[in-house]
Amino acid sequence: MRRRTLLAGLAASATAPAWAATGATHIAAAREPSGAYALFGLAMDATTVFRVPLPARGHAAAAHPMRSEAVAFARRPGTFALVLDCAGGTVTHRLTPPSRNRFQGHGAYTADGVYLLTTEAVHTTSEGRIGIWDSATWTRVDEIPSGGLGPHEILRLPSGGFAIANGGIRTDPSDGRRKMNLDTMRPNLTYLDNGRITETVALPGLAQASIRHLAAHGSTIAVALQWEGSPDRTVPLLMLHQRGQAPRLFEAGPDQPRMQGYAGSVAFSGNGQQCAITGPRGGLAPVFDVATGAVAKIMTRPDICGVAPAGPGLAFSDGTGGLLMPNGVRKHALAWDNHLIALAPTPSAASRSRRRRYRSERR
Amino acid sequence: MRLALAFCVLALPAMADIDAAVDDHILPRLADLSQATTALATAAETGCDALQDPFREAAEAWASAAHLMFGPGEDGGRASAIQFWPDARNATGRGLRLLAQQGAEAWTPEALARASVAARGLGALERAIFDGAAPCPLTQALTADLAATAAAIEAGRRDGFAATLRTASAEGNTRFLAPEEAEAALFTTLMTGLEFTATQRLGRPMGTFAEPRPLRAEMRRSGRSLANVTAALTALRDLAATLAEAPQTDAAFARAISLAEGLDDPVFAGVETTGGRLRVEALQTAVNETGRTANAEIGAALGVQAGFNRLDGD
Repeated sequence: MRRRTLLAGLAASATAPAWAATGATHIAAAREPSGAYALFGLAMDATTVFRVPLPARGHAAAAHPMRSEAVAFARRPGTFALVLDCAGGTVTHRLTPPSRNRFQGHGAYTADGVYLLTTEAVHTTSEGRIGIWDSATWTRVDEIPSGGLGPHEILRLPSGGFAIANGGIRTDPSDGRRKMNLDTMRPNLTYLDNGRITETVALPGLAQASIRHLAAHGSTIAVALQWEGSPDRTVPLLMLHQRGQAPRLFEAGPDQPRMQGYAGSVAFSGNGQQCAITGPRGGLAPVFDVATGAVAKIMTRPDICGVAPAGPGLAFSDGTGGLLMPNGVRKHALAWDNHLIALAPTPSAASRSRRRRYRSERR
Repeated sequence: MRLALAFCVLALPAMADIDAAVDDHILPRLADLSQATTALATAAETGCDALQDPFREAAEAWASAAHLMFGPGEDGGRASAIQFWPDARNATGRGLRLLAQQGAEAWTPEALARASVAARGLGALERAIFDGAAPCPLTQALTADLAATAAAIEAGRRDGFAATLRTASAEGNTRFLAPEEAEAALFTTLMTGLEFTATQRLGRPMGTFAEPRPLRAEMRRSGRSLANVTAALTALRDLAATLAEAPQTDAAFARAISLAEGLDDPVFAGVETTGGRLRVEALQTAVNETGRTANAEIGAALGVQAGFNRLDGD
């Protein structure tokens, strides 16, 4: 059964039009002037190259590593995710979590694109789960613990496994968003290898900083935080971590209070030398030098939230329509949603073989 | 034909005059702040006994310009170095005590520029001048540091940021991708200024009905709590007038300012009595109402929308 699935996955990736053919290097969801929502393909000159209508506001999207296919997730607590054929501009499948779970806004494909992993939480307890879906048939093949409460983002790592941001927050089942445990919350960063949790990292002294968004370059993981403690306290909102080492915290010096305790997204620059978090509340995005921890520059845009690697540097998007790409800057008549997603380059042969190990382990 | 033209004009969002806002509102207020803080530093050069009036004048200039701190004001925390407030953890008191203990080496403008922002600016100076919380040489250095910060903000605004505002949509201006964005930034400044006045300047001393917090009033040591509210409202009213023709907003400002002027409670000590609290609350309500009116009248005219991601919370 699993072998047939694998073959089907490879066949599809060989025949379906690849991302390159769409001209897109990034994707992002947005609200249009009519109030409708859509997912857009974006080029390096900040133009849009495709548009797929969405039925409601999304949060993030996961891009297939080869096929021009994306999965758009509803805002949490989500009861659906949509598989999109970006070249054709259509919704091809609708994913529904098991009735006791809710999607939490993010997902990630395995490097070979055969499986999709989705962050989910048990509706009544916020206990974190990772749903595993077969991307050829869109059947649900497995479910494993996320290692904490209220997982938000899951990220495929260049080294092989996955990182999971367990936000640590238990939410009220009646609306799925009201926070119930801010005094006792214990967020963590969980590493998943071959389907098993291999390392869990907590934030020393910052238990009320919810771990929500992730980025990776090489062996370094960047974590964006959202502070749930006293608003009178200014805390770091970016953590960098390498496996087996103590985390490093980054603060934007005197500009840190402008973040208002909230980082919306995080990304490394394409060359890995810089790491940015976005602060939509204060309309700024501090860009840190990874080696020294110093603030290299501060981008200022109202409602800035999306950030992604682009070329050697970074690209930004904001809720007022601004799209700042390496080869162009444009103001679209759109409100760009939280996240800007870089389409991964074709994975190397080495990482493909690692993926195969993941599959054999799971079989 | 004439009818069609009139329709076109009406249908376009009102365009705020960015040049007028820069030349008539922003730059003069920052120049006033620079002048008043320089005057305070000059007065301090001959001693620390007669600084109360120059301090109050600097505070008045600051309350009239504090809303203009986007751009060069906010870069590197310069605005916080002018006034670190609110200060729930008494960082100013602790920082000033530390500076006083460090001795003369720490009492130079150069050393202060590297000190915690909480221990600098008007908050520290108010304690030094009205409570005698600092030796005179430290007070003198604090006034020089304050004047330098205000001058740096004014220079940054005049030489760089004014041009950034005026050249919205020009090549290389990623801060403002269209003229509307410069207008929106000014409008945001107006709304933030009103919100700060309502929730902080008035809201902090009000506390809750069960637990009023008069000692949290802004600049209570110099007796400027209410005066700062009046100065801020007057300046924000002027900014609103440069953004759009907005008669309802102007009337709401007039009402709030007349309530402030009629309030005989300079440091909001009255919040501890029911009647006194109601009077401060009435002023707060009028400020909030001014914000709602400005949002509906000016925000709509400029086509500005509330934050899409800022309010998303995920």
